[in-house]
Amino acid sequence: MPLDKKQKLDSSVLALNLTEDLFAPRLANAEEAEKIVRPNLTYFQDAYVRFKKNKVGVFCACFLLFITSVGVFGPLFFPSVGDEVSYENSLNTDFQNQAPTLGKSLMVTDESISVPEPLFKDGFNLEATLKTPEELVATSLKIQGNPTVDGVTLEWEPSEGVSGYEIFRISGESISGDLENFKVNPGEQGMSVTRIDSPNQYTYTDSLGLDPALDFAFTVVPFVLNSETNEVVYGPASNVVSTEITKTIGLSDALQIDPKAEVGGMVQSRTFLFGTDNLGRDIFARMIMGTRVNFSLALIVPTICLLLGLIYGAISGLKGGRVDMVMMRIIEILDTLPYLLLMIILQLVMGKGMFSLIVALCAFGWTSFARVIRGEVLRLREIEFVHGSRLLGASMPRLIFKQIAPNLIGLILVVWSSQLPGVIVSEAFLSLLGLGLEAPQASWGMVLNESAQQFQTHPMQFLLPASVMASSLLAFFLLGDALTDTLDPKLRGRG
Amino acid sequence: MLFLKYVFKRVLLAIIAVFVLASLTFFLTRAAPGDPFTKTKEIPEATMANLKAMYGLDKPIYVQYAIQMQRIFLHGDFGTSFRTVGRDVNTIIKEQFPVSAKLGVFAVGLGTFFGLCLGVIASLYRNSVIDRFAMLLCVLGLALPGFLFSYLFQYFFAVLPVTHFGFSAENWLPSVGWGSWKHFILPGFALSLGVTATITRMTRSQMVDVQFSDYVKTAKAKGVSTWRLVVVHELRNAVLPILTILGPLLVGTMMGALITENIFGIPGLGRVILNSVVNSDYNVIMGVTIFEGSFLVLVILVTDILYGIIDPRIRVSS
Repeated sequence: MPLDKKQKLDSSVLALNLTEDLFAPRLANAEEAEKIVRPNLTYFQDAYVRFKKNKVGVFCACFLLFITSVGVFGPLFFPSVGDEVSYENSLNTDFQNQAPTLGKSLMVTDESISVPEPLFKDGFNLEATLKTPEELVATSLKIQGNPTVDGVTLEWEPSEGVSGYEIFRISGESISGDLENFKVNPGEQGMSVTRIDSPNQYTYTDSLGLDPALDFAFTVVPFVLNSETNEVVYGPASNVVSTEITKTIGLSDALQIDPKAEVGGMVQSRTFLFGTDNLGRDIFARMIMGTRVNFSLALIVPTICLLLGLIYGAISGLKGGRVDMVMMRIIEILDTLPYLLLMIILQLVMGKGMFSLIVALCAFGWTSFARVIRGEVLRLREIEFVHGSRLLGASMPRLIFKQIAPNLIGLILVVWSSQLPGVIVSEAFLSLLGLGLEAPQASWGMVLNESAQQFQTHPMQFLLPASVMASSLLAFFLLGDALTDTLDPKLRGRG
Repeated sequence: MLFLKYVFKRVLLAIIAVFVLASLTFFLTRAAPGDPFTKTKEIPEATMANLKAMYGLDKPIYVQYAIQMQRIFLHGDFGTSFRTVGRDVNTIIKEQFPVSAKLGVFAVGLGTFFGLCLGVIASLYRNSVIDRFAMLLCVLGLALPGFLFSYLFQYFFAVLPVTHFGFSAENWLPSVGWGSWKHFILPGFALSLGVTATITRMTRSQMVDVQFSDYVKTAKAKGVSTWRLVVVHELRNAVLPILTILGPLLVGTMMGALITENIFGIPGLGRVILNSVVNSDYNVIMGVTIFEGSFLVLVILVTDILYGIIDPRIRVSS
């Protein structure tokens, strides 16, 4: 080392003010080195820690929890799930093929819808001399009663000496910006509703084309008619009244929704989040029922398959020899069979229904469990870390619960979760062939099958349930992947 | 000698599998409720007896079984349809199977081509945008069933352009039917997505494995060009396991195409199965199931044997 560098080093070391005892050798402590300082995590704690880091997995789990809770608690928040319109076969023409809608407040009206007769002021001097255009004054306008789709009744202050009144209106989704212009020039901005050729009429009911989705504004303009030249001269427009239109419902229809409904009161119309199908059934309600069916199937079927596979695989693996060989050949044969077609035949033989659906789906799903569990049992009997653990003096329960069981549990969960989406697809497959469940019941596949019949005319009926199913399938699939990453220790850290 | 024994074992297993399949479908269809004749209207007893005698249904079940098995295995005859008089199952299969097979081969070919390309590119540019895209496509193709794609493709690529965007129906892709090359495109692509996903995933993981092997390092050190390295050194080894799944994938796609065929109105075996399910025409279901099952078994058998020939390691280890 060159001399000048060493000198520099010395001066910087001195500047640090180092003392002698900092350089005492650190003695190796054999006991300390062997100490296990990290907390002892159980298998599932470890898996949980790793699972939490997998953002996709957590998101999918949350999404599936959300769908499950909609399936479980949905009927509480959507009372329409529970009534006959939702899933019985009753043909309800009132609700056929409705687009997705939220519930609206409806005003209950009398069955006999009639436009109120216009009212005329008594003791009015009809023969009064006509005013000159300069003398015309604006009247004040107000809305009488509740404006509904059946009619908006306007009332204004009649004045003597006019030939009549013309009523203008303007409508649109947001008209507040146009109101100033409308008042200045009602004929240009809005449209003429009617011309009343009588000075003493003071009410008018407009009932044409009232759309509850739009806002409406009205104004009334007095005019004088020159009888010789037939020339109409308008006076200044009255104040502008704007209003929303309330939807109405007949009393007998209202009583179906709410038994306590009365004329003049309000009822809440049905909410059809996904619209209704061609039989008038609420698709969202049917999807909720379908969620219950499909998620039950997705839990029951792989679990039964797991139990069958566990028994079969464990016997095969533990017995070994000729038994093992025969049992594995049987599985090989079963695996080469066209299970989709056999599933169809099984369903045909056993008829529609939940039970036969479960049997048909289970009949060919258990072989993968059996094969995987057999292989694992064979491997675990002889594996080194089990020997190693035993050499370290682990007790038998520790061996079983810490070494063998976690290895089997991880694998079982991985295979189990990978079967969930397949069950949903198979159910849909059978339902699309018209097998599956009987009509009043509902499953996702049945909803898809029914709405697919009129996909071209009412695409939303298909697209909404299909997207629910597709997103659930994706979530199940990605969750399975995430579980594989976290639960299967052998695959840990692989890209 | 070892390999011959292996082949023999495989063939034996395949024969047993077909036999089990035939027996299973026979007893299942015989156990089905009701009979295929009384579905539409009440039939007089004498007619019923004659019908049963005609189809051999009056004999004891084990005699029927023996006759059926003999017919299937010795003569390759699947019997006649119960519903359409004079239509025998063999003719139905002969007419409809080529349609399904063409669609299946087209879909699998398309999927294999795109899957190989995408898989190789994804493995070459790992963690790039293309890789991400390929993985996204894999997840979609693996998680979602073909019939969902079929419905969506039919609506968005055939119906919507004509109804909403003013394409003329004659020049655009047809939404239903069979005959011209245009009819292949939508169902073919809808079915190929699953295949593409499977092949892409396999190719990518195989390629990644191969890329770290010593002979690739040697080839690189030797100065082999990238193109030659990928095609000759890497892909050739990576593609071997993919070959083994192509056969089963083809049969699986054909059977999964059942609903796709119905969506697009393709006169393949899918429609035959659907019609016979609706009509409880057990003989047809049975025939088609045994036929497709045997086809599957045969394809798996041939793949296994070919794989043994291509890859000496399999031959030796078995």
